[in-house]
Amino acid sequence: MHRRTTWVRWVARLAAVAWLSGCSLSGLNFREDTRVDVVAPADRSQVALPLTVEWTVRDFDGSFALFVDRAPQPPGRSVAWLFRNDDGCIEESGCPDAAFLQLRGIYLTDEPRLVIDTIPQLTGDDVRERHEATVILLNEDGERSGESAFSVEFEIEREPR
Amino acid sequence: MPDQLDEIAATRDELRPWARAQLGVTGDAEAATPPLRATMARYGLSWYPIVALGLLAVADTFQVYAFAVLAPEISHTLGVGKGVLAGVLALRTLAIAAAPLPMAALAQRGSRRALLCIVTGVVWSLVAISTGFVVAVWGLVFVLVIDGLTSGSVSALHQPLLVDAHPPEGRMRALSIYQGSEQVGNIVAPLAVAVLVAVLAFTWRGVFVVLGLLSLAAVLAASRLRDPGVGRWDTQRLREALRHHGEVTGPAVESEEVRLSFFEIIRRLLLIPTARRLMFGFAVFGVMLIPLQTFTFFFLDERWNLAPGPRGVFFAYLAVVGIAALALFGRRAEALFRSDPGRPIRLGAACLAASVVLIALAALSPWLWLTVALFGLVSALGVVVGPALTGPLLSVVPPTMRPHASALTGIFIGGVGGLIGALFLSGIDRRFGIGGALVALVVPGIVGALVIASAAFTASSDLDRLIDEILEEEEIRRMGASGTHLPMLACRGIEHSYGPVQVLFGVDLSVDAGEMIALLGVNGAGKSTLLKVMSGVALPSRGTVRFRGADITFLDAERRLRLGITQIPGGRAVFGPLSVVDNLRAYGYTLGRQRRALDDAIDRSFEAFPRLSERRNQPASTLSGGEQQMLALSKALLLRPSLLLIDELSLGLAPLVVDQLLGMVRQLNAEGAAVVLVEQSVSIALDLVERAYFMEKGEIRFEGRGADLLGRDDLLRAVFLDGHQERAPA
Repeated sequence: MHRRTTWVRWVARLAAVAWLSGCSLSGLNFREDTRVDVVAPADRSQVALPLTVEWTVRDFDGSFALFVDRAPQPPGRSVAWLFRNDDGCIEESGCPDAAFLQLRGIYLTDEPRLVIDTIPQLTGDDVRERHEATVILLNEDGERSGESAFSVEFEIEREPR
Repeated sequence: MPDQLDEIAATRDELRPWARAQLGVTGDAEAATPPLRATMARYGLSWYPIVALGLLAVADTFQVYAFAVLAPEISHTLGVGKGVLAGVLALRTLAIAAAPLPMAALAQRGSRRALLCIVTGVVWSLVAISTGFVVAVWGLVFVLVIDGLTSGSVSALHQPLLVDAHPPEGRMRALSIYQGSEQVGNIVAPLAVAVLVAVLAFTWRGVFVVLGLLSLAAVLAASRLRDPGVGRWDTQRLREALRHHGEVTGPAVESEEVRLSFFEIIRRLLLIPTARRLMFGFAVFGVMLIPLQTFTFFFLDERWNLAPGPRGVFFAYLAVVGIAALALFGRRAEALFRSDPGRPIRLGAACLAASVVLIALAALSPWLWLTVALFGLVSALGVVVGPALTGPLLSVVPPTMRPHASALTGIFIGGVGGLIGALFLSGIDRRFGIGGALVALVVPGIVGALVIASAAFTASSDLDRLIDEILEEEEIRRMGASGTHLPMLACRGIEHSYGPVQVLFGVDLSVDAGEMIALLGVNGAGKSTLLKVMSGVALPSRGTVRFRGADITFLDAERRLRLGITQIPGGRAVFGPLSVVDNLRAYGYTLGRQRRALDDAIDRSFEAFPRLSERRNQPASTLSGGEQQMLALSKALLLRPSLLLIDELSLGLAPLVVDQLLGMVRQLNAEGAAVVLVEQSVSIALDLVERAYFMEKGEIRFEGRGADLLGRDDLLRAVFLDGHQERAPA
């Protein structure tokens, strides 16, 4: 009986540690962040390449990162964190640079406007080519500022192959 | 002894129609079904249990729905890709699939089902709240897995509680209302998410916190839920009615020793034909049900370019149609069940088949309005499949096993069907597109419908089997209380099949304490199989095995060993590579840590069979046939059973050795062990016993005194009698 109680107690402790270490009480957004509003393209609209993504900003004077069809880095991290395990991306060689990032659908900018020339075509002819662009805020160190993210979905019209 | 068994059978046959009516099957489909309100009032029942369980079911949908809708936002916030989220969701699915069985196991230990429902409800509410505070992937994994595990109480316990809280005449409607509450959850959850996000501008974190609080409020509202008692309206009602009829109440024959363990219950459930077929049908149903919603989401998006808002409205519309269909279905299903428990199953199968055809038509429809209309019909037909099958299923399984049956249902739908369905539809989707995937559902849907429909043929007889078990138990309890002598072991109506080949047909056999009987018959008559059914090595597809009045039909062989039943299998039952002494130690395994007792028992065996002592370190495979049988019989000397089952002891042995072995059997019997001796040699058997059974083609053809059997030339062919006639007095 005693052994069982000890066992249960340890499982409860482990569960509590796992629970608490995966959770936090500070720096969380419970209400929508309205500082950024993506104005172009319109949500779920049909667009052509090159595509202009534009947003309005208030109460923020840092820079931005725009991600096409991929999740951004977690709050407090720079975009380099996403490639920390990428053997082909060596920090000493200046990686990740803008070209490296753009190939992977990531764009860094100080302006609330960006022109995207290419977006990889989704596979499958019968699938609507739906893409998603996500804007996040970066602080002066290039790290993600807060956990706000602003997304827009669009569909690309391409010339038939 | 056979008189008592016949008396039990006669009472059972006489009471069965009455008992069926007690369980709601009057056979009259045309009689008016009183409103559920009237039925509740008649029995003085409260609506609280159904409302409480409905609230819990609604609350359970919050976390699932919110996570499905808000997954992209969670991905952006935490910086995790879709692949990681899919992996986390897969873990939760695994937890949901695994959780119902432990819940059933917990419920098996006592009437704590209501408490479990409330506690798990509190936990999943807290988990939903803490989801709003997650900042890392492992936190997400943790909350979702805990949510999945606690959700197990919904699939394992809610419906058994509902069934136990309502009399059979209102059960199908109670289940329909509960199913309706799940539909309400499908309306409330999206509505709540939409309001919280679009109107109140909450992020996904805020949504989870608010939904968690709402869930907690719902659970608190349900916190007065109490367990109505296992089988209150069927087995308990039947037992009480029997006693009310003037039957003498006796002590319960079931004790902890013969109460089925968790895995024995699962195995026993899968031996019920209706349950087995429905489980297979549920798995096929799950192929369709689980991935359907996701695929429909994508279909509406890709084919009709519907945004999340209109998609939410579409699913709310399906839920409303579903609720309307359930309202119409409940009373009709009640009448069908009253007529024959198989009829709701047939209706469920027909609805399933029609649903998949309509889904295919909806996928091919060129107009959105037609797609919407067809999906409405799919919802109306599909939503009734659950209660149409669950009602009869839970009615034909013993009440103590209902949580297990419900858990298995959840596992077969979600764990088996859902997984196969996701793989199947993904494959079809890649090759033929989303529309093709929806059309392809016709194949598993129709197969599932056919399997489910086949369960309709067995439901009625399975209900009778449940009734028979109760009647028999009550009759035995009555006999025990009135001092009527009961046999030590009683097999009643035993049937057994090896795959499709049935080898035992309604076999009745009884053995009294201290008695030695012979079980005779030609090769392939079913003697050894019957012996295996007695010892638990084989389980019957029908019939009961009772030991000292207690039902041990589905008890594991090792547990029967502890009750005092030991079998010596035919054909040199020794471990060849082990030495003689190690064989004996292996036999004595059940003596546990009583090493001294085992050593004493081994010494006794060596005293009884000195030749074994001489060969104690020799591998058993090097012993002669007679010595191997001595070693096998030593098992009985070690374990000192109260019932010894011996299969073909004399086969192929020299008369001198046979005499020595039989002497030992006589001694064991004289010391108090009852013995069932399976023999092909009539002469040997009838020298030993007073009473004998003769089997032919899986049936008992003779039961009576050995001397009387000798007069049955029609049974005993010359080949059997040769030896005996030579030895029998003129």
